[in-house]
Amino acid sequence: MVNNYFGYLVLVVVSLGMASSFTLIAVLLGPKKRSAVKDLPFETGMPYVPSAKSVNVKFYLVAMLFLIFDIEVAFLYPYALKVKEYGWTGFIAVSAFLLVLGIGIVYEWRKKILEWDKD
Amino acid sequence: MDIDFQLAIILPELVIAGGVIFLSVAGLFLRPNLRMWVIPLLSIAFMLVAGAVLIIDSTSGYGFHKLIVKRRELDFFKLIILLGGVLTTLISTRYLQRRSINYFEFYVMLLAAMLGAMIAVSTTHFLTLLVGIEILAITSYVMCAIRRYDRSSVEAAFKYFLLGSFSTAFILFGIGFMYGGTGQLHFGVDIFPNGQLNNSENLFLVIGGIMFLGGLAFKLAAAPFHFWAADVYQGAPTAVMAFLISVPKIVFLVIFYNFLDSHIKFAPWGVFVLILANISMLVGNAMAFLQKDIKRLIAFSSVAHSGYLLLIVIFHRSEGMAVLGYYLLAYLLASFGMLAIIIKISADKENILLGELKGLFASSPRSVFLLSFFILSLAGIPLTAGFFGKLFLFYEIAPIGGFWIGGAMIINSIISVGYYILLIGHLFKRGVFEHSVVADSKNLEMAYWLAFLISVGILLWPQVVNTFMGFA
Amino acid sequence: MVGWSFLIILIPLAGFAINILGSRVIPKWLAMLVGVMAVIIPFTIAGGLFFGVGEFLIREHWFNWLETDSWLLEVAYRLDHLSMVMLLIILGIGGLIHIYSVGYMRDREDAGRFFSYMNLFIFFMLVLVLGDNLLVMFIGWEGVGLCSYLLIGFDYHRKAAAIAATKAFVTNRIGDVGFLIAIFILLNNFGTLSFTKLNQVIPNALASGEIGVGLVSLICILLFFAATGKSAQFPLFTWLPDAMEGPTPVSALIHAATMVTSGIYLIVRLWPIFELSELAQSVILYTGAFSALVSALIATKQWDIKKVLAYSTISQLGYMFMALGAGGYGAAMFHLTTHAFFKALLFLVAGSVIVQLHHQQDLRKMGGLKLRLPLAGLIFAIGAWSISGLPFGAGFFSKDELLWQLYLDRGWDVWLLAVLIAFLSAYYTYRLFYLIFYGQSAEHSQKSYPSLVAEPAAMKYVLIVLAAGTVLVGLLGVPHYLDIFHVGNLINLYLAKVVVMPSQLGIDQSMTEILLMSTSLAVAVGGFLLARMRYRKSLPIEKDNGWNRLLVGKFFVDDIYQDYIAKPFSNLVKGLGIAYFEDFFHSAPKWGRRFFLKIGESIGKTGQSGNMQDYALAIGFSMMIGFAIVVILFLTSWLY
Repeated sequence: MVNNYFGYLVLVVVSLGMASSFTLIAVLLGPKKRSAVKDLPFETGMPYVPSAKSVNVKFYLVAMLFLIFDIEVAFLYPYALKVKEYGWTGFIAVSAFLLVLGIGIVYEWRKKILEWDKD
Repeated sequence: MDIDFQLAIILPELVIAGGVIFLSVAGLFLRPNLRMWVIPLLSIAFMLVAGAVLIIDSTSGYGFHKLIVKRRELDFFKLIILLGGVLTTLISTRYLQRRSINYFEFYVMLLAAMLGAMIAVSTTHFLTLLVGIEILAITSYVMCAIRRYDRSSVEAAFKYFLLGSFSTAFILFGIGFMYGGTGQLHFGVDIFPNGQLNNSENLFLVIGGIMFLGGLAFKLAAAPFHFWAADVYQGAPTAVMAFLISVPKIVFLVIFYNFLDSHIKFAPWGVFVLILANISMLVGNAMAFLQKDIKRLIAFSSVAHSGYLLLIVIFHRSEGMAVLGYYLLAYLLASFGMLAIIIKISADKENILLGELKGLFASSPRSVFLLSFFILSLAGIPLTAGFFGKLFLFYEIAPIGGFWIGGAMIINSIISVGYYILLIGHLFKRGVFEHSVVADSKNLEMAYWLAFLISVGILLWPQVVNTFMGFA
Repeated sequence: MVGWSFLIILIPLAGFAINILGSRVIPKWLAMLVGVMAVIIPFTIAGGLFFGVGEFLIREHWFNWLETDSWLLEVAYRLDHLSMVMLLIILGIGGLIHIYSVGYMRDREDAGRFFSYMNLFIFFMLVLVLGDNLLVMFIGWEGVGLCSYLLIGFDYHRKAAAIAATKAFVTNRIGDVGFLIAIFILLNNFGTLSFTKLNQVIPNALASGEIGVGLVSLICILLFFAATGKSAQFPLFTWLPDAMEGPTPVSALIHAATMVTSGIYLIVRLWPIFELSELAQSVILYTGAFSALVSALIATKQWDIKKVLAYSTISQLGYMFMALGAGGYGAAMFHLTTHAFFKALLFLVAGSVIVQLHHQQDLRKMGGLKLRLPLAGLIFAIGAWSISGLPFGAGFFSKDELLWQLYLDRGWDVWLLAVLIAFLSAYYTYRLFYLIFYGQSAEHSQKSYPSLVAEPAAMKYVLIVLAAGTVLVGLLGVPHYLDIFHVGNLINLYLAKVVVMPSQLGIDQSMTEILLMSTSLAVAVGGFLLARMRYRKSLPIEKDNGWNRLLVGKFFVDDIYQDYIAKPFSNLVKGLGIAYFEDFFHSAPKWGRRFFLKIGESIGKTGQSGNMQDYALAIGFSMMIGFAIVVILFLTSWLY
């Protein structure tokens, strides 16, 4: 029935109307004075730093590798709870999963990603 | 606990997945001069094995708690996806060397994209579908960016990546809405027989469906979600462009078809897709007239083709899949053939303008002959495979869609002939062709002759798709 | 053997493919070998089939090409007795001409290209005669037209050859329109194009009153119109004399022995349909007679050796059409067979003479060659004897049967007309003979041609073999009153399994037949003697009266077409163009294009900016429109 959703429709219309009217009022009525200070990026009260300290690209690599293997562990937790129930079939399935991730490590190793200290 | 292992049903996908894992490691253990040809060779071998499995195994059914569906019609689409993969590999080998971007990971990514495409085709479950779409999309982004020291390629990849993620968000949000509306993640015709969902009072379902279809239309490059297409195709490496305008098109049209097949009487969605189709035909053809760059021209012509094909998604009878399959096969062959020739004639420059084609006939008549053949096939001139594609399409949509829909398709095809003929005209202009022509790539030659021969083959035997799908 | 029959078609195609693809690599001798073998091997297979299989009809279905609810187009071929006759002619005479071409083309650099076209021609001709339905036949029909175009214009750098090739092609297209319309009508009404089915369905439909005789007549006349194009009959015959610009082996193979007879084959193939329409039969008969008479008259005044033969071909084809119009399918096929032999022979001899005289084709510059070219003279005499229908030549048997058929079916008047044509054909053939080999003294010839080009051996032997064949081929159809050994009329007996034959004649009529035969024989001898009298000693002086001018001007058919069809048409186009049409057809696409450019530009300016933010905005905006559609539909459905 349409009536069930009529409330949602009203909600959507009202919220859209409110949001747009606020913006519109601000645009129409607000004073517009630009200054150098106002044009600066605002960063939670801290002074704006012209050049960010560059982070070594390895940082991202570590983060990505961590994510991948973290997910691996995340998959293993639920399996660990039900090891007996899933039996050999489950074991083979999880082994296949681990094998693929293991191949991932081999890939990283051969790509020399794990050699941290060299540039 | 019953773990529903029906590995046989995904055997082709398993072959490809195994290929991805195997090649990604094998490439690292091979000497560079060896892996230059071993990896593409092996990846073609994997695709051929998967294709052979698809041809031989004519069973059908569901597997993995209906997460995977196998039907003969869908097998055909997987087969032409694999054909697209083989052709991409063939046109890429010398191209990558010439542009000195010869990373073997390219072939692995291509194979992974095949995997994603095949998964996305063979499912009627939203989650499996999403996995497939995302594997296809992410690998496509990477392949787009393979010329990473080239500004335009990086720009293309970045646009594709951000806008693609944006559209994926729509797809996901739409799926969420539909799940909210029905409590179901399945969308197959077998699961919802004959309009069980034709309840247009379910607003969540309707809105979700629109978002889902809009997201898919983005991936399909159907107007007005097509704006990325020209920029991305222009910037992407030509070999990748050949892949992008054909394989994702197959995948997303099949998804459209599968999705709408169970809800065909669902008026709002049908109207939405019909509007998309008409705008696509009109905008694609209109924009193609304006283009100076041959790759952009093909991009807009592919937008128009999306429009024709969306028509059959809405208006079709029980054997519509065969028509879709024939058209897509003809389109895929013509696109690959064309872009293979463009790779051949643009040895030293990535993007060729129409004006720069002058004198090509004198320097490479065979290329001009083949290029004209493929262009005519795209245009749908009689005695090409594309003509039969358009003919079957018209036969399929006209009785259901009626006069205006059939007429719109015909008029748009006629308009499109204008710029195709213009393009052919440029090929025959007198002058001196200033770019060098690739003369030393057997693989490239094999690719366009293969495309030519198969085009001629399906021209001589148009019933092949029907026969394969078991309709005949 | 039967299983290998498809090789007959495929081997010539393979020969074509090898020669055209390897045109840069294959040496000339190999190209010639491939070209010749690609015809000889299928000929041996066909010969094996001929002797090995007695009662046979091979019908092989390859695949369904297109299928709809109401009709089916299949690709299939059939080999029955009728196709077999055509097959043996095409491959036998074709093979000989291929060997002859080895000699003829020995000095040409592009012999590979020549042989590839010839093989392609053989391939399409086989498709034409072996096709099981009109569509496959039409593919062959168009294919031989294409090959004819390619071969007439083989010396494409000569302007005359290029123009002649275009003329042949365009004229044939006009006929093809008839063929296509006939195909559409048949598909629309009967849903099939298969010969077997059509030959059953149409008589049944007519008998049961489903269709009127008018429709059948229309179909038959359209098909005959197509045949007039390919077989060079009255309205569309002007291309054949011009086609003589092609190399002589081409004229012999395509424009005398095989391709031009495909119109006759078409009608014989569909004889049960043509039988139904009195009107169509009369049209065929009188068109054939008119073409035969006109072209025979023109042939008497031509000075180009090959053009005389070309007009003679039109005349003989007209003869065959006369027989078809009178229901004499067997007679027409028999005459087709003998004609293929003696006309190919005459062309090849002419080619040999032309080659030896340093490519001289003008009859006025020949003469007195009797002693200098004795072999050519002898062989030409055999050919001339056959075509004129003098006793025991090949043409004697076939023409006699044909005349008898005409007499039986149509009576005296048509028979007399045919006899008049027979007189003319004897006259122009012997005129040709005496102009080449007599007419002047040997000294004169010695003076004009101090040296002769040596004739290649391949050409010489082919001539001898073909001459022997010409002498023997008449024995296939011995009339019963001469049939001492009671072998019967072999070709009629053979074809009787496919085509209806006129009822055998009673002995009481045999006297009439002998009488008619003697009359026509006397007339032919009269033609021969008249030519001998006029041309044996010297070139006669042509009087410049109206009749002669008409004949020399070829009845001005070409000029009439040029002045009254081609020119008015182009004037019409030009005139209309100035007034209205040109404006419309030029500006409509322009406006259409401008309209699209406008759309494209406006989208390009607003949407296709290259900014990703704009693209994302467009996507979001489009999605909003989608929602709006849904909400509107939703609310309207609620209102109902």
